[in-house]
Amino acid sequence: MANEKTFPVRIVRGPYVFRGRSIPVGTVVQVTEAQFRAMTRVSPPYAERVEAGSPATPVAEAGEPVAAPKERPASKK
Amino acid sequence: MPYSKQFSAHGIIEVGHYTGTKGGPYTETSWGLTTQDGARLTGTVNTVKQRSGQGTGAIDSFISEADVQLVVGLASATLDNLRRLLGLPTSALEGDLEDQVEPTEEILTVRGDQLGTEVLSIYVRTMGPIGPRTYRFPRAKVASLPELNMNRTAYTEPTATFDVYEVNGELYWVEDAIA
Repeated sequence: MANEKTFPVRIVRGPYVFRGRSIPVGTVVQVTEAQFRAMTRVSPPYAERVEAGSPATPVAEAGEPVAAPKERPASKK
Repeated sequence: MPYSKQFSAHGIIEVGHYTGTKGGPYTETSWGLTTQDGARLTGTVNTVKQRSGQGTGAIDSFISEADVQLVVGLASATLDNLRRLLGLPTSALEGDLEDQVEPTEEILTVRGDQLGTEVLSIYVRTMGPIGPRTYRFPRAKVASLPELNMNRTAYTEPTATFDVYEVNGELYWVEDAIA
């Protein structure tokens, strides 16, 4: 379990409960394949894959969600 | 692992309806914000007790009838939600305020003979031990009509009670997601 391969995903619907915490939309978290399946078993899915190399650190190790939620684009006036 | 046997559940994340069979995949439609009370699952049973002529206490009993009800309160008082909590078919609502291209006026027609006729598969999502916990009710129908407050000191928060029915002997199931 500890050595299971993980990859970064972005929460796109939420909040999503991850390891007992409520993770807001836009947050990038490291997940395993099984966790990703649980997030995408419903449609619309809770998370989408982000490119490898994106700034992301495991939630479990960092203790805090990783990348801050992306700022919403300014609305057109 | 952060999972602990000491998990205490509270809170509500989402209520809506879904399509799909047990195990997924599911397609979900959220009903928007719920009231603080959110959703409440209640059950009532009738039992038959066996007593003997030789004693006063029961010697056995069985559940002869079991009923499950789900109460849902919504803070999003859209006409689509009103329609759902009145148990009306989708045809009762005309127009679409949400249309991105050309919004049109919505008209909800409440017909007496259509009240409580729509059958829904409802899900309720809450906090779980490590991932979300989802209750799924495969077959539910409105059992009581929402009380709608239209006054100066209270919000219009439609609340309705759904009767939950068996599908292949199953009333509902609960999923705790891995995380």
